[in-house]
Amino acid sequence: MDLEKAMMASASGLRAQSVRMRVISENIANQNSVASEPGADPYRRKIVTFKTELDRASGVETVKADGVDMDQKEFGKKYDPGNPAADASGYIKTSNVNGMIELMDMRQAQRTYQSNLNALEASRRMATMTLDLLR
Amino acid sequence: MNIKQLDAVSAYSQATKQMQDGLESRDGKDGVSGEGSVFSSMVGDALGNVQNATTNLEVQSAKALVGEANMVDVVTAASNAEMVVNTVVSVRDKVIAAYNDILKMPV
Repeated sequence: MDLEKAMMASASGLRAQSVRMRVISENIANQNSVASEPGADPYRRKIVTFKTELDRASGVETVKADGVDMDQKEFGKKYDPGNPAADASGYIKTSNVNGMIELMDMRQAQRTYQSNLNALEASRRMATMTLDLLR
Repeated sequence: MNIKQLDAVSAYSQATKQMQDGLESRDGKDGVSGEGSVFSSMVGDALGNVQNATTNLEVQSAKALVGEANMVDVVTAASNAEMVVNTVVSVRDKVIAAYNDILKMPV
């Protein structure tokens, strides 16, 4: 039944966005994580990529969080000679997470989740309304 | 997830068609046995669907209780089970109402 398939697609969207939300939270939580020794790298920002996946049993094109990649952007630099991770000239590397970008990503994930939820609700309501014809 | 909710409805329409055929060819053939088998298979199919859906719901909620399941899976399983049970119940009510109408028919 097509409405059920629609609900399947929406549910896959919800799942994918939850993965994305998890990664964004990890990024925000580790925003200030630095290395513990000189030369080591601090926290590297992670990015989720999405992929279309065909559900062969039902023929629905669902979405899937494909994998978590590393952001190759350069690390920041901060003068902090007292830090154990500071190099010879007194600089430490800071993570390449930008709070503003994470905030916008989070807002987008939130909105997409909401749209999927609305689509799910709409399909469900349509199915219920059709069923009410029998009564 | 591939529970065919409209199976029950199509089986019901088949049943009514069969019933009509049986009424039309009443004098010649015995339409009762065919009608009965369609009806019983319809009930069987519907109950199988209900069982599938509710078993899935139970599995998902048990997983959720021990913290293993995704909340989305639990919610979709619950709404699926609800839909299937609703479908089966309304079709059953409709069929029983039809039988009652026939029973009350003045001969």
